[in-house]
Amino acid sequence: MASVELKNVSKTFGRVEAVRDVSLTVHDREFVVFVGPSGCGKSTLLRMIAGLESVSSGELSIGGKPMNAVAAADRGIAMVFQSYALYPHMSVAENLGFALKMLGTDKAEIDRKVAETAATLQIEELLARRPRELSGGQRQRVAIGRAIVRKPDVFLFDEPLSNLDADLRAQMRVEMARLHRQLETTMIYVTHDQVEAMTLADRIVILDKGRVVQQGRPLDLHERPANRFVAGFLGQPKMNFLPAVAERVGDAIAFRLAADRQPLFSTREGLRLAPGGTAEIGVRPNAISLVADKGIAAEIVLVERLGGTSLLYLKVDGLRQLLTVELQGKPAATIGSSVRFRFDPADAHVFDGQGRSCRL
Amino acid sequence: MWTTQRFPAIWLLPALLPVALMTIYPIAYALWTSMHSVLLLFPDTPFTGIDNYVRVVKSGYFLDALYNSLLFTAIAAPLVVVFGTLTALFLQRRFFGSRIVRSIVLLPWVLPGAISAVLWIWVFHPSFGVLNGTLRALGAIDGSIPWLTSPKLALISVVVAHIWTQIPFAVVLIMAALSAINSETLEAAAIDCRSPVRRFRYVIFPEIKPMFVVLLIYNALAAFTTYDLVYAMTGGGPGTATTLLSFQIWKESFSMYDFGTGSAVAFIVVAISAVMILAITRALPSDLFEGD
Repeated sequence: MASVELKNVSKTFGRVEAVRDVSLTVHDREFVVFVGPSGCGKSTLLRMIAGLESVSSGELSIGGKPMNAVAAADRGIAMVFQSYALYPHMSVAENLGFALKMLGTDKAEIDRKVAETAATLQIEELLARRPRELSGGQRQRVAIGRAIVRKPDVFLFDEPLSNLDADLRAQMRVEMARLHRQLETTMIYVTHDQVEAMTLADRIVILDKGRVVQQGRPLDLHERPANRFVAGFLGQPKMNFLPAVAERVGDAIAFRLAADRQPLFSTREGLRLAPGGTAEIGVRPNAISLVADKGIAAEIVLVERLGGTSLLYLKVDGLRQLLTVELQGKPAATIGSSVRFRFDPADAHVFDGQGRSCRL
Repeated sequence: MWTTQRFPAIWLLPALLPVALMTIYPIAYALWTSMHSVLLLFPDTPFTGIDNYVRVVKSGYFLDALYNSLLFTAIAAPLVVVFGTLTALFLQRRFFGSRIVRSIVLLPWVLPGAISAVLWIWVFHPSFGVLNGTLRALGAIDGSIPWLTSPKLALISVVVAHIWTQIPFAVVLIMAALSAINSETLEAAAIDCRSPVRRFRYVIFPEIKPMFVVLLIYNALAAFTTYDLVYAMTGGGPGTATTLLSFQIWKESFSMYDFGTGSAVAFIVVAISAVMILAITRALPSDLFEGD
């Protein structure tokens, strides 16, 4: 059981700054997910915590102890890798027991712990096999088992599910959540899959270009993104962004589409935005509804029917991006027909010219 | 009709013909020669059975040459592979100038055997050699050590030169094997085990073991059949100190012009080599020869 603390941590590879000035505390028993687009520095950050990459500057401590100069093997961590990284020439049982063997644990104790771990992950019947005789999902279980068996203070996961097919991924996701409840250990999990992030995390840390962009509880981030990047990154299908201009009308601010000045909505809510300035209005696809009159005119370009829901892609005059609308059920919609849409101002996110949220 | 399953033998012919021509025919011809009296000055080649073999085994040089060859192989083959592995492990690390060092390590490989021999003759030269010069400069010796002309030192000197010429190949193959290991597996090992030595023993070595065994076999054969360095550096002497069995193939055939006896020595070398290959693969079983 341990917390992980990062103070102004940076990592440079030659001239490239992979991680820039990250300060972060992962609390004891917390499940924190690092998420971001590829190249954002999330894996590097995790590997620095693991001790696989040195810390260029800043302080890293685990359980209150400084770890900058401590070898990976002595940090009390265990890591699950994307490629599983099992030892190919060892049986599953030997893979599971390897770390304990290296620590000098006696044979009977290793056997007991390996059996216990195998039971937890339901891989008892695989113990005698070699990794190459296992399926992807089975290898993943063994890799997780190898981490569990050491009883580490902190678990580190580097995109552990991304090599699995969709079905297995969903299944393993559920198991990861169960495992965290069962083990009650600090876990840090890197993924680019936002569904994994949303469902598993106690707290999500979103990274972009080596910096922490925003962190918080999954739903908080979803509902109150601090900037356009976070808003666009979290949520599936992605948020729509409408370029707009803001005007002060009395004590309210009115937004119009930047392209053709069609009124969008006006609000009295306190917004940190200079009137007359440009803005972007973010609306999630499920917050948009089609209406018979009023609303903004658009043309249906594409319809995707997913069974429970349908996705409509609308072309709005003056807008380069297509607007995505998510509707429940099987609405009547034909490609090429004209429609009108609206959304509740309460569901709109306003971002200023720099992409920052204007919410006070 | 163009299926490979109907007439498999025909499809193999283009590949098998050169093999038959280049390998099987010369071997068969050598075997035939070894059982006939083939002397340059006598046009007749009467069948002599195993007489040539008997003559070789009963000859004055045979036991010395066999002993020298086995000793040469027993020292050279393991050392080449061990030094090659250590060098490869070292060159895996990235450090300032590592690319240049990698190229330099490969240099002995590009040199022809005869050139290497000349190079080493000069290294071991009693008066002008760099080795004696260095030892003298360090004050370790007063006079000069006759590296290549002392019966006790000559074989060791040739072994050193041989190892030097063989290491680059071992380095290249071991580096290839090392780079084939999943980097995440090595990282997992770094998390599981603090000691680099134990990580090598339990994680890295099992991964490169097939290559290690192949190299050991290759080097055992290379050492057991080497002849160019001995030919150029010592000519088999002093006395029989560096006379190797493989050297006697050349001596019987091209110095005595007794091709029958030369071929007999060659076949004795082949037989002993075969036993060595079997011994190594038995002693170091690896996936390579399991065929799963």
